[in-house]
Amino acid sequence: MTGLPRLFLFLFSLHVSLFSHINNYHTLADEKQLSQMRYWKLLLHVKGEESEIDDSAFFLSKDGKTDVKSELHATIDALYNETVFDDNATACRFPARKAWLQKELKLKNLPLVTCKSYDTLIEKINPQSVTMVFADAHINSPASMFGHTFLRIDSSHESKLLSHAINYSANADQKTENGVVFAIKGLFGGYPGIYSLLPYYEKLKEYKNTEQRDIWEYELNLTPEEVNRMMMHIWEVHNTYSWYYFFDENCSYNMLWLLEVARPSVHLREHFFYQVIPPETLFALKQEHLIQKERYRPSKRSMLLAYEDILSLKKQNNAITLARGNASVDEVLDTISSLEQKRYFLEASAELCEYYFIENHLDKEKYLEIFQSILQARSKLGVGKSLHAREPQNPLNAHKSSRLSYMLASRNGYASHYLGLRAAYQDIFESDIGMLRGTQIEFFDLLLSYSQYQEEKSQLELEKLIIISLASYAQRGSFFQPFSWRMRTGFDREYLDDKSHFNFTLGAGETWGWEWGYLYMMLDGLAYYDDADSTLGVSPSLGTVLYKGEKFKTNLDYRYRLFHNGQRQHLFNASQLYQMQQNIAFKLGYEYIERFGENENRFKARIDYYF
Amino acid sequence: MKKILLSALAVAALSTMASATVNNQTGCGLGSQIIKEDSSAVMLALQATTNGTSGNQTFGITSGTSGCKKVKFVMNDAAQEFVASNMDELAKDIAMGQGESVDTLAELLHVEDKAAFSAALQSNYNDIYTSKNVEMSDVVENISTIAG
Repeated sequence: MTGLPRLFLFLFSLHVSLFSHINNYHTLADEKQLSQMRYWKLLLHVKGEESEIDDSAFFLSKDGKTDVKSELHATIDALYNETVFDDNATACRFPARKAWLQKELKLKNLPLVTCKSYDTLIEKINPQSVTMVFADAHINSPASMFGHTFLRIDSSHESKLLSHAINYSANADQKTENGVVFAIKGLFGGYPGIYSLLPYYEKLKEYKNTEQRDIWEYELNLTPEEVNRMMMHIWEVHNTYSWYYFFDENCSYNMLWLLEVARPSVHLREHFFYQVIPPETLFALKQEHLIQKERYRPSKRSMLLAYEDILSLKKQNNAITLARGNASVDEVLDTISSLEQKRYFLEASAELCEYYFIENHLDKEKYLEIFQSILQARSKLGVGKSLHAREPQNPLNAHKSSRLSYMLASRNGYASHYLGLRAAYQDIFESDIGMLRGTQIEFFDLLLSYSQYQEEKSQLELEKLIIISLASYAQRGSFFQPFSWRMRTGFDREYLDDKSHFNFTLGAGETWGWEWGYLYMMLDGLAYYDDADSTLGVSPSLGTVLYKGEKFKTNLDYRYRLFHNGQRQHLFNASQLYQMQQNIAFKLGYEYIERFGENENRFKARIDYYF
Repeated sequence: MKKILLSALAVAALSTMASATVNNQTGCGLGSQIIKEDSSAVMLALQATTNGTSGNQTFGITSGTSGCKKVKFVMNDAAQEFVASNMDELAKDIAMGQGESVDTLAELLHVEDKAAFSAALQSNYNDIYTSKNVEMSDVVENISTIAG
């Protein structure tokens, strides 16, 4: 035989042996039913019959999205038939798949590849442990009210600032999209969700400083091996996309996949039935015994409020003057005698100055000048006692978001029973332990009543169906003077004629708060819709929320309504809450509604169960 | 009519999530915060945030100091990146003589005695943050001189 045919024969037999090699692995994998194993399905993000990942590049088989077995075979094939041996090699793109198959099938003689990008990443991040980070709501922003979660990969560094954050978010260019389009697309999956990786300090800038949201860190007890598995999997999905759905396939939900890959014995996703509300992922982590340590990081806003607490009103005002550049440091500092107060005063001024810069109330040049002059002065005053913002109740202690209620009421002397169901999440009459005080966000709140009137027969009525209700009772102080506002839409029976009507309310006002409670004054515009026409009105109102310990809360609310048809109406509501357990609450209440006919007086006793 | 109105309201409420308006100002000097853009929103109260939505965030393992003046001597990249990105936070902590960012820098520079380190930096604040236009490389060099 001459050389060339011999070479062909050699290559052919090599091909055949490789081919049968691969076939053997296919058979072995089928025998072991690997493609049906939980871990393989986790790696492919398979839920039910198909993968949630929508990017075809994630699948090596053309049926990969729906056929786990064909994807497993295709992965084995691709690992043996590498055509490139660098970052683009299958083994480099899918390190977690490779590691697992190698372990399960004892794959031999895999081609050698060099995964430079992945190795560089791991060297830089130095993954050792993982922390779940929860960015709490901001008082004035409805979008933030559910909070946000992301994972932090901790290195062997002592400082957590040197950790990296893995974030999942909808990739939308806000500059080119308007809000309405964004909302529709965000709800129904019009944007690709993507992963990003940034130094943790950049995320802190974003959430803690710019958005002024408190941060909670939950250190998880994942082992380095589990963390390594998670990193390999993050690498597999980081360049792929899935459609982002605001309610279920959202930021928090995708973090759960990563955690399950790290530790396949936990079933985090099964704690959710439809919507995945970020704080609830924390409950799931706790139930699966993943949390080992908790830490609070106050937002810039919370720090400023802490400074507000220890500085006199005059010093607060001076800090504002200084931070805006309307006085020099010497002018105001000389008026303070105590060294400790001088330190706190300057620190508060520096924070405030930064805040004005972030909020775009100061241009950069002016900011740099003021900031530098404050810090120069502060550096001459030695080390003081560092100020700690008071730690709020941990979000882990909050009640769950869905609510089932039973209420018994006396309605002008007649008994009525109520049954209520709410999808989410919080109103101001409820316990706000672990939540931001003064925020309200409700979706789909249904209340049915069944009454027995002596003269008439029994009646089942729609008492209330709130589609959406948002409110922000934001307390005013020296440093922050936010508006309070609220909006609500749905059906209720609060109109004069005692029937359920569709209505819409939008209003704004002001809130003042103390440790023991807050007081609000609002002015709402409202519209009641009937089949034929609508009634417009304005409604000034006054209310207060009072706290007594952690379990008791009192609410008083008075509304006056003036309608365009000349009708007037007084409404009054009082309720007393007793939070029996984290997820069980008991309420007593009184409600007065002025009607065309007999005015309504209701005495109520109610029990709420959260699930 | 009701239906249309309902959907419109739900969308209106949620659309406040949309205008995630932040821009990244990180440079080499002070003023490294992320600035909120002026919002032309109808109501200031409805100002939005970047909850779970943000553009131009990458899977970034590139150096954050690429546009900055180089430090004169050999210096670990992590320390340079950290200082470049945390110029303001670091200035504040140095001026106060304590804080997480000074501790972090000490760790990156393998400084054993963190208390002495931050005390030394505090008393030399003016020699580190020499002017309001000081850059990362100056700060790093000045700190090395002082701690050296």
